[in-house]
Amino acid sequence: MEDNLEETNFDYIVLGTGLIESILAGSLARVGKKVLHLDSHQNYGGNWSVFGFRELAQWYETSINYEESYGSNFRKVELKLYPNQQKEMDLDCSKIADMDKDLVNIWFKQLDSVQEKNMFMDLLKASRSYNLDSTPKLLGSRDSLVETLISSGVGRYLEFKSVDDIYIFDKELKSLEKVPSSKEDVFTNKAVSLIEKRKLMKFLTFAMEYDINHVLLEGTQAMSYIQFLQEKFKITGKLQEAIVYAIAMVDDKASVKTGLVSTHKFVQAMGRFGKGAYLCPLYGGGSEIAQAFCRVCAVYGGIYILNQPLEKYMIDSETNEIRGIVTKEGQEYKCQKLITGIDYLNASWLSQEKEFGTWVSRAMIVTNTPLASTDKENFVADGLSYAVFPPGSDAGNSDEPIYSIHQSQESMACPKGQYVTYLWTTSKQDAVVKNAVDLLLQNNEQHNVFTVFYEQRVRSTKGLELPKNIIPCSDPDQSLNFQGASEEAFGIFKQCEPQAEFMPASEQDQDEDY
Amino acid sequence: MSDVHGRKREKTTEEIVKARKLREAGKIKEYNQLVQDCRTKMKDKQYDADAFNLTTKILQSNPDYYTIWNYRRILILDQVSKDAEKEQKLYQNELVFFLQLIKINPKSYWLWNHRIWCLQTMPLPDWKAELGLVDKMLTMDALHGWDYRRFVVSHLVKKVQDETKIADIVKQEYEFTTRKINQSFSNYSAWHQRSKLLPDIVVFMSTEEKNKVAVNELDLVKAAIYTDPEDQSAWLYYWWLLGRAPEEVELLGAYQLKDTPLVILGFNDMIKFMQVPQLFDANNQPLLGKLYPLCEDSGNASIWLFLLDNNIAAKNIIFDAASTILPSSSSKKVPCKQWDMNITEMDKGEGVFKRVESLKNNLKNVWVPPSTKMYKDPALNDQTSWYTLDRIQLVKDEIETVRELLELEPDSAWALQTLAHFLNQLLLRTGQVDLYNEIIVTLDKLIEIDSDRKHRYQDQSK
Repeated sequence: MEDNLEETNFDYIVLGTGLIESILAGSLARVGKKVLHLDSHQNYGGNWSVFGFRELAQWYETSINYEESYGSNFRKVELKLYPNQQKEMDLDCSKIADMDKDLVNIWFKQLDSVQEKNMFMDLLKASRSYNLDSTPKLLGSRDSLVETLISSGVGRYLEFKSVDDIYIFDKELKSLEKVPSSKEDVFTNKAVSLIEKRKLMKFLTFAMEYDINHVLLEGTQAMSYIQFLQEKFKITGKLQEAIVYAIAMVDDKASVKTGLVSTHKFVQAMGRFGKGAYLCPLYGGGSEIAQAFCRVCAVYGGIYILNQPLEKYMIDSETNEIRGIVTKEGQEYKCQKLITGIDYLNASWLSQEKEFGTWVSRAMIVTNTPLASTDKENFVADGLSYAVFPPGSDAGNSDEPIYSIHQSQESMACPKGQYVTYLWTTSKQDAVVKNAVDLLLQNNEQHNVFTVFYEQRVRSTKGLELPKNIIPCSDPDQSLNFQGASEEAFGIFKQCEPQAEFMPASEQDQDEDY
Repeated sequence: MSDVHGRKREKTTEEIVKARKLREAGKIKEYNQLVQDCRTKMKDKQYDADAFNLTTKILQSNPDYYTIWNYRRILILDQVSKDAEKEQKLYQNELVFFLQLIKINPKSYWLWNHRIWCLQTMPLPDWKAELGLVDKMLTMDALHGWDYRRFVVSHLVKKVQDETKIADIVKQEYEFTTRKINQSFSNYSAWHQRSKLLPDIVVFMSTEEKNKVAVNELDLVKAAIYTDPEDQSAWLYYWWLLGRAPEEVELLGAYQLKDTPLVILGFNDMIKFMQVPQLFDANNQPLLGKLYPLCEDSGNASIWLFLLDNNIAAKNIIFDAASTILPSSSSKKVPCKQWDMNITEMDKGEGVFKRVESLKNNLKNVWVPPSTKMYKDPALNDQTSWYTLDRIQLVKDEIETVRELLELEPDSAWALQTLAHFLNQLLLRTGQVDLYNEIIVTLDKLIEIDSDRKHRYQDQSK
């Protein structure tokens, strides 16, 4: 942006349009604060970005160059195409749009066959029909973010679909098996024995009515959740794994309380909007929700600048506080406080360790058959679901679980007839995600359209030594839902504006109801 | 929107209420005018488009006004008589009209009535499409939905002459109930419908296939009771699947009023005699007499009177059960045994004999040997006759199933009741009297946990 804004003094400057930063921009503007929201990229989302095919191809390119760079949040990116081998056509370069000519030239040097090249060009053309999330997550139906979206009206800017099914990787069968979580599921699931059906229903009912004073909880303070399930409900084996890893999503060391609170939340969330306990945002997750909050920010007077590289911070050396920022063009903006994603922090403030943060192994697998389709009878081809490979599965993840989300055109992640499977894990074992993908595909690569494997860095803001009035926001983490992010945003909001209300309902809404 | 004292808002509420009342009054006036106009037109036999439109407007406000529906039908028939080509279209418009109104009043009887009339009157009704509609309707109004569904299916079946096509329709219905049950198995109507369909579904199948279906049904219902032991519909279906062993007729007692020639025979159910039983005196001499059933007509009675020709004390009555009596219903069977029962002397009370004497005068029919042996084979009417799995093994297996459930849910009233019932069924089929113990224990437990119904269980105990 070349024009100079009239306004150069703000209450808050927010750097980066990741989810946490955007929630803050929106909620602060909402309570009357003057906000400048700025991102050096030309797209929204920051580390929460959603890619069309073109963006994916470009990302791959830039990431390759940054592979050794300390500043990169993504590494080891591998994008592979699987063209339909039967199509033996000539190379037709007339299809290429002008803007893509450079990109195509770079890529053609790496692609071997004519089929791959043609496919690349076709995918570029269909770029917009893909919305691939670099950090996919689901929204729990009773998460605090849902309440915020509803009460503030921001939910109207967004679309969601219900995630009705859950799968868990079964070691014996070497495939994904459905986890029955509702009464209907329990009833119709033929893989669960009669006795297990009863045990599970009894337990789910107990979890639904979770009451700390329940007689079953007496004397269980020292127990782990797993022990509790075993002793009080005689739930063992596969059923136990399903409850711990796919429903409660805790680990084997979790206490009874932790496990039950989580399970209770899940069971309470079921059926709130759809059959399941989760919602999947359409067009990509964190980025879409972030944009909804940016919209709120703009509606309440927030100023937006995208594609604006920054030069430096203006620091008051006496008070060790930030006075503002300076753009590469020399434009100065002043603020009282500054909220920022970690990428905008001065290198000197960050940890000097080469390995700052932890790495999450991720993958996006685009196929032409759904990968979560083991239950041939009840399977709904376009359904949304998530799956868990518990620790100890055949994928080699002895330490941590692998999560996967299965999307399709239902969530606008890809065109009709294709399916997107996201996988990720924090497991430190080798090639875990690749193994999981192989297990899902059952060594049948024919179903692949294209695949992307990569690693994403998760940095936390704890322990950073920053100037007093800079508040940093964490990277998207390895959890399945947005709870961590929304809690962090809420916490920061309260820290900044202790007296203000977080995302109050708008007056306009009140009138309309009347 | 409200000022400092909030007065502005209150005023607005008042104003709004007033405005609403005015509007309503206006609407009522308008409506009454429409009805008036319509009546007039019909009286004057002005069967024109205006009259038709009037019925439309009135019915949109009040779809339960059946007189107006009658008018509308008269108008439609009149239209058809004038312009036969438009007939199908006219009725199709009616069906569309129905869809508009049914959204607002899903339970309006007269709306459905009109639809049925259209379907029965129109030249080419599409019964298949109706099934699709019923599906949607079931979600709105379950009770009437199933009835209507049966109505539609019966029409579909009538249309189709071919046996295999009928089988297809029945199968489709069966699958429909499966879907509904899978969605929500505490759905009595779905299970009930299923029980009606099953015999028709299997009628063309081989024995093996039939038994497979039976096993599948059992698996389904067991999944339901284990998932939710409180669900009544599933338990009832479970009982239906296992059926009932026919109970035996028993001669409860034989009595003679002292110093009279009257012997009274009591059975636990109504029966018919095929031949006269034999009575003997203290010297084993046969006694002759006349047999009278104590009943209205038809010859079935649970109390029979044997009036001896001579006033002699009878000692015992002997007869072969199987060849002498017939049960009155297919749920009872006659044991294969020789009955030899002592006749107990009853103190003749003045009143008793006089009453019996007076009854004798009312007895129309002395028993005569029946001309035909109408023996109702219990097996024929047995609701479980559509499968041939070994009944005894089946009930044994299911007793195990229920016992296992009771281990997990010891206080489940339905499970306890079912166990008692199944044990009784086993007893009836095998005669294993030691089963009584477990039955009594089960019923005792039931009494303990379900004190409301304890009398029923106590009776069963006996």
